[in-house]
Amino acid sequence: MEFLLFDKYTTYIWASYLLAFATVAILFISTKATHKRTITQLRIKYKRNKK
Amino acid sequence: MWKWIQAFASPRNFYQTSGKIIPWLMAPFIALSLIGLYWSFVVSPADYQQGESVRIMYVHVPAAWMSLFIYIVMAIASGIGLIWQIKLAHIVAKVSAPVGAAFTLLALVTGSVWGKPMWGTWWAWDARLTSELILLFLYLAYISLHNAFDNPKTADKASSVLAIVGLVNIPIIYYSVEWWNSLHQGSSISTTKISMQIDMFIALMLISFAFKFLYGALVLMRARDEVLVREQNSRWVREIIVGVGK
Repeated sequence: MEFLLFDKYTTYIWASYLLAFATVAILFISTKATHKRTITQLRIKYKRNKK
Repeated sequence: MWKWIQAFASPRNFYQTSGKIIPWLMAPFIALSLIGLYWSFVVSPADYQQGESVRIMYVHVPAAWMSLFIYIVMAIASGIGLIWQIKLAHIVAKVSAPVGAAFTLLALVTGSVWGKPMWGTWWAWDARLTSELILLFLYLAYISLHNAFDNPKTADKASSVLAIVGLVNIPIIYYSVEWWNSLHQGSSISTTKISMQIDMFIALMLISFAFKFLYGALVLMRARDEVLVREQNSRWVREIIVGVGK
């Protein structure tokens, strides 16, 4: 595990990569969640219109 | 070619075709990210001046490139939407904005994290940093302006003009280190010369291409959603949504 320690910069380096991971994760999850919400809302709308 | 573009750009065809393309963009994103991380952490050496902190560059630089690339795509799509009235072009511009803003914020924050140990400060009102911050404000202004209108057509037109006008900031960001006496280092990669160790260059390119594939996948996913919203009164959307529920 020693190769994951980067001199006096370990905190800065890991912080940068964690931020990048968080950005990618947030973008992906929010995109999926929005699509799911859209499908649900449209399904409700079509059901209501059918009645 | 033009006929193919027109056929693909029709909302229905786009929705069906793009669904098949997304996995082909996500797979290279995951593969390149994993190889890129290995190259960044294990293969790439420490820099003779920056030491180990150079590894922050493998996230910071690709994120900064993406911030510029996405804005250019957004402005071109806005131009195409305005000139040829292609709905899908406006949709691509709209869905690109939040992704571009996220990459710009990532570039600014990782740059700040690198700046603290290297420059001794989190932030400096340097030409490159300030122009990149203006880019973030342009993305946010585009998103706010688009959300300010109820009518999507009016929103598309108004925000497209903003995207095109804001394009002037791109060469300012790119050449800022040459035009002004900047604290920010100059470019290590040009069309004629690469002034860095080859493993550093490979790490940069791997993460950079991974981000490009991610952007492609996100744009298609978000555009499919936007198409459903805008075409919700069409019969084909009703058929798809009712079909999903079964």
